[in-house]
Amino acid sequence: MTGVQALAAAADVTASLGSSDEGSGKVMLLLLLLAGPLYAGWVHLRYRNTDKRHHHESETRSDMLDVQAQDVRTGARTGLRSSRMQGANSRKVRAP
Amino acid sequence: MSDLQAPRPVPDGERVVRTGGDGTDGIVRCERCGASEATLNVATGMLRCNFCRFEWSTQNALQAFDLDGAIGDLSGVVVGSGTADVTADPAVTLRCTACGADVVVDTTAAVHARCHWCRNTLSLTEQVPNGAVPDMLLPFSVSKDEAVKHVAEFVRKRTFYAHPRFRAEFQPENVMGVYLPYMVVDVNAHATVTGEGEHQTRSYTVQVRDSEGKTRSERRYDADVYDVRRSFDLHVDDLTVESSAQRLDRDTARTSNNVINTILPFDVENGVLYDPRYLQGFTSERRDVDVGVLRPAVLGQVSDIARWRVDETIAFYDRGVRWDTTDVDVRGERWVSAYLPVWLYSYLQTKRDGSTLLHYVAVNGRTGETMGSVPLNVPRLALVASVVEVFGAAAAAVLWVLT
Ligand SMILES: [Zn+2]
Ligand SMILES: [Zn+2]
Repeated sequence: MTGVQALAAAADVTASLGSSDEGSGKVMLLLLLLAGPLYAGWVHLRYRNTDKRHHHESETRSDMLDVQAQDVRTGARTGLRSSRMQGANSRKVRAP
Repeated sequence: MSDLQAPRPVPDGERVVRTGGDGTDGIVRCERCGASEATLNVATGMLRCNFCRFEWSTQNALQAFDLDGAIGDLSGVVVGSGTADVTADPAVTLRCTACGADVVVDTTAAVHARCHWCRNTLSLTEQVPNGAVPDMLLPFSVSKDEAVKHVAEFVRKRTFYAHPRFRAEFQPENVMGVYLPYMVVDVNAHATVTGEGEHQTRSYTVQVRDSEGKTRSERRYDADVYDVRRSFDLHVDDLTVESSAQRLDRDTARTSNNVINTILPFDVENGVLYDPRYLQGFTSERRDVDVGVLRPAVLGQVSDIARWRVDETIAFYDRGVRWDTTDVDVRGERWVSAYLPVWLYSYLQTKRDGSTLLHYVAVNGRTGETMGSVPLNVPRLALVASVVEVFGAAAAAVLWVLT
């Protein structure tokens, strides 16, 4: 179980640090230090498949009709460090 | 847009489409020789008389009941009569039309029985309103031989860390054909999703001085911020959910039902009228969860689909969108209960502390899609992972010294 948690944590850290040069060095170090738990987590998922489910959101037939867009510019943000919007969740299945 | 603001009452009057048979309980006979026993021929998908080998197919269920009309025309709640709430008393008495004996069928266990006097097979063709008989059924089209191959192949790729006892007892021939109960739902909805999006306007590098006084360059971004709102009609076709409490238990510490969920979807549009003879040679599991209990989960899945689809319309927001609200206003829904075919290889693991874990390898009885859970040889995995850790730590030390 700890292996599976290590996998999830590593994915998060990689996503947050991975964009800069300095960050990717840290990620590499972290992945090597966690090599044992990461390997155990990978094997666990491959054998037990506890993370698998039916992707109802993409595998169900659906039609989207009469789409109305109402977008309003509310301002600007400058000097942002990340290339991705903070809190972006449009690809998360259980967003609000 | 204006009708969005108007409150829309929850549809309460249900329209029930009768999907039961012609009203004659008891013996279903071969059209050619009159025998009461027939079975599914998996190769053709047709029923075959056990005596004269005559084969016939069954009508498409959704067409027969006019349950395949345009989803945009759906309003209110339309349900097949097979979705009726399951009742506490599952026993049904059938009168044998051959000899007149009364035979009790326990519908939790089976939907047909053999008359103990004349040995004719009695079937529950007339739906009794206890939810035991589904509106439609999708016959197996993957044969047992194919299923055995799929299961064997799946486990063969996962033998090194498999629990030794599982390995010793593994016999893919023990795979069982089971008709599992599902609800198939069409939903006509209007969805509104709102949130905030960022569109990048500039990307540049700046010089930053760190704590040791050295400067280095870092990347910065400017973005415009928008309130984003999308509103659209959403037609969801054949959303399929499990309708047995046992299968809805997704605690992976106890069961591996999630792997049975993974082999969805089925081609439910090819479902046929329910005929108990399709069940001969297979087992079936009774539905024990009703429409009212499943509706919140179904609406949750419709929300997920709405957000997934809306992604196609937000390409402008190259830095991403954060959705804050999803509103789904259901205008019409259509529920059909179905038996869908699954090949199941099951293995009950008893752990040292006495707790049990039920493992499955499941094969979709139509598409052959296979997913499973194989019990682990934990000591072996721990040993190899320790070796991996030693090498990883050594490599990390080298990397640390070099940089
Ligand atoms: Zn016949
Ligand atoms: Zn009889």
